[in-house]
Amino acid sequence: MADAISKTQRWLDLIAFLVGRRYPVEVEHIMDAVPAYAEKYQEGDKKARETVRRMFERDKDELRELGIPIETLPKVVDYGAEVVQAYRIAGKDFYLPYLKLIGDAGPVGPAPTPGEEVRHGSMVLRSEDMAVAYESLSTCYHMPSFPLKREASSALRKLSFDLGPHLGIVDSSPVLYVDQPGAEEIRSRVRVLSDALLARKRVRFTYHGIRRGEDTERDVAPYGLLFQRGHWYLIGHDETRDAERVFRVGRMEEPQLNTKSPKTADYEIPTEFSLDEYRHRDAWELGSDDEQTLEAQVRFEFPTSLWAERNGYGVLNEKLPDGSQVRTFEVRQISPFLRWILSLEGRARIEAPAQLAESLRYLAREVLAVYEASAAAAGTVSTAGGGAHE
Amino acid sequence: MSERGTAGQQLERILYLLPLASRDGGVPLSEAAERLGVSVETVQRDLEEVTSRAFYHPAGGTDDLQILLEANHLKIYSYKKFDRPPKLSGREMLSLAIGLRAAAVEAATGRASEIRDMAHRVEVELAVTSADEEADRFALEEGDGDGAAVRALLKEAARFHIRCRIRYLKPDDSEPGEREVDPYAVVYGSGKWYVIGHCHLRGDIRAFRVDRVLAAEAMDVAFDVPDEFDHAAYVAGGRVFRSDAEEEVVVRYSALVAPWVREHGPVEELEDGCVAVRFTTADPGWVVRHALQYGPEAEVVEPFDVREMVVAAAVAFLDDE
Repeated sequence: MADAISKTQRWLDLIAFLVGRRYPVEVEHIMDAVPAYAEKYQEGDKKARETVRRMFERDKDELRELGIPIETLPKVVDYGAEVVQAYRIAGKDFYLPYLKLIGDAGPVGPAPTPGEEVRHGSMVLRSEDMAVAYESLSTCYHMPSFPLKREASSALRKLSFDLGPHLGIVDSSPVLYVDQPGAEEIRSRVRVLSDALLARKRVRFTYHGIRRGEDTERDVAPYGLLFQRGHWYLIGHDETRDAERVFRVGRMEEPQLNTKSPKTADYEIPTEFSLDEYRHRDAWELGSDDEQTLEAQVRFEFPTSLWAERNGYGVLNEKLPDGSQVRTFEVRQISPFLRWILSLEGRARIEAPAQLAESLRYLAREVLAVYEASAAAAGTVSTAGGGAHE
Repeated sequence: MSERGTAGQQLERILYLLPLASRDGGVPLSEAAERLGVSVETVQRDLEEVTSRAFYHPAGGTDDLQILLEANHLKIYSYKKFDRPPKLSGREMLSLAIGLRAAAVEAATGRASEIRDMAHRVEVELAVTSADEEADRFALEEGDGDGAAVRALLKEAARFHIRCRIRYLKPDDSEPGEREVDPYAVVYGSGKWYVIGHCHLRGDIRAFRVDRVLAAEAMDVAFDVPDEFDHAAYVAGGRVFRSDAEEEVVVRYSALVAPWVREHGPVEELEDGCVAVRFTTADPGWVVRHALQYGPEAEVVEPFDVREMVVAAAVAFLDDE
């Protein structure tokens, strides 16, 4: 007995049979022609034939998922007596056109022969555009826990097909992303979440709510995935709380995609949802939109003012002759804001409102109290403590 | 999962391998393996899937694939079939679209619209399905604040080995200083970008935080990266170190903030739910600022001089009293 035909072989046969056909082929013909189907279809009973038919339907769906453009077209058979569904893969939809680069820089591969070009078409790209495309894919590939890492790699491989062997994923790139501990585990979670997001399927997971120290079960309709400051976040509609929420992927346990009715979407993403609204938020800007914001004026001494300006912290209100700057902040979360200003070691001060400035001084006194208490316990004396700054 | 992966991954490799080996001269197995990011053995197994299959022959004549494997060199003769890789799949295009969007955000205004136009052309001509809408569901925010132009310049300088003049602001300096730097690597770790390179002012390798590079310009000078340079020597536990002269600083965190601290890496568990972390750093100032971000919930335990730095920083907020 011959070895069983593997799934890969079956798929390859099916693609080979359908690709480049001018006229679509009806199912009966496919059942006769593709060996893996034929051996069961031709000799089997009705039940076996139905099983093979279902196998073909599944193959077709999975191959489409993998990006194989199998078309379904009507075909007239029996001299017009019947119209049946038929299939083909058009060569122009399947094969990658030739890539040609123009411009001085950039390696141009061997020019394809004219005949080949006509058959598959070609696309001309500026070499600097190609460089951006390569870099973009390389960034995705190397970015910690990027869910479509494998696809970024295969896309890069395809784009570099005509352009020499050394343009694949370059591990020697000087632009590097340091993986955090546990990055692989995070990647598998982000992958599940991105699969759910793309199929619009809900996900369930246990979430370690770090603020309250509680584990809760969540059922979420994913709206978007955001990589920010080294962490992945899921933004979605939390069914149990009936509200839009942000979840840090690192605090989830085993997200499970809803496998019921895989071809049917569980939800729609509201048209007003925009992931951009979650970008570029500092800790003090987080929180829901209905929370009150506080406008704070902060004076950055020179040269820290240059750093604040370069990184776009707050909005410039006033430049002073000594090079310092007063910048305005919209603060939603007071505590992280005060702590951030505290970490600037006196190089930035809150000018207004007065109450917020007093809160900052209170925080500074709390810090001093901690150090004084432990120094007293250990019997050491601080030289800079007690408010006597040099 | 083994290197062979799923049937889908194997099919993807085969549909790339066939056209690769169909080109004039074929392809060495080692090159095919390198391009596919798998071992030569996996390529050979992939090839077995192809050789053991039985094609239907529409023309009824010759086999549509002839495979020649000689001394680790693969050549395939195909009759107008599988002589090109497939177009980009939906997910491949999606990864490209997500990357290009991030690149457009980083780019200068005019260039950003060019990148978006290019993404659209690629999508129309090279991809099976559109990824445009789904790409909006993903966002990569690589930056640490503004200053995308500085970051882009440093990355390019590192790629093409071009010396840079940077205006760098160390937190304790009274004004920014000018330095000439050969950027060996631009590294993203713990949500921040760093440049690791040879500093001509110090005559040694240094790590610079990109958010403290106020301005950068490329110089008309090329440099070589020394063979012995290894960025890994400056990276550990997901963090980038500033130089190799290090000091140990111990920070104690209260039970209130301990859950956040545990998320960042290994900790020593103390009584009452408190935790301690031992940092090895060449820049104690970094630890001071780090501890202050936790307010009274973090305390530098040792050494004494770093404790003093924290106290001085807190006092600075009170000296107008």
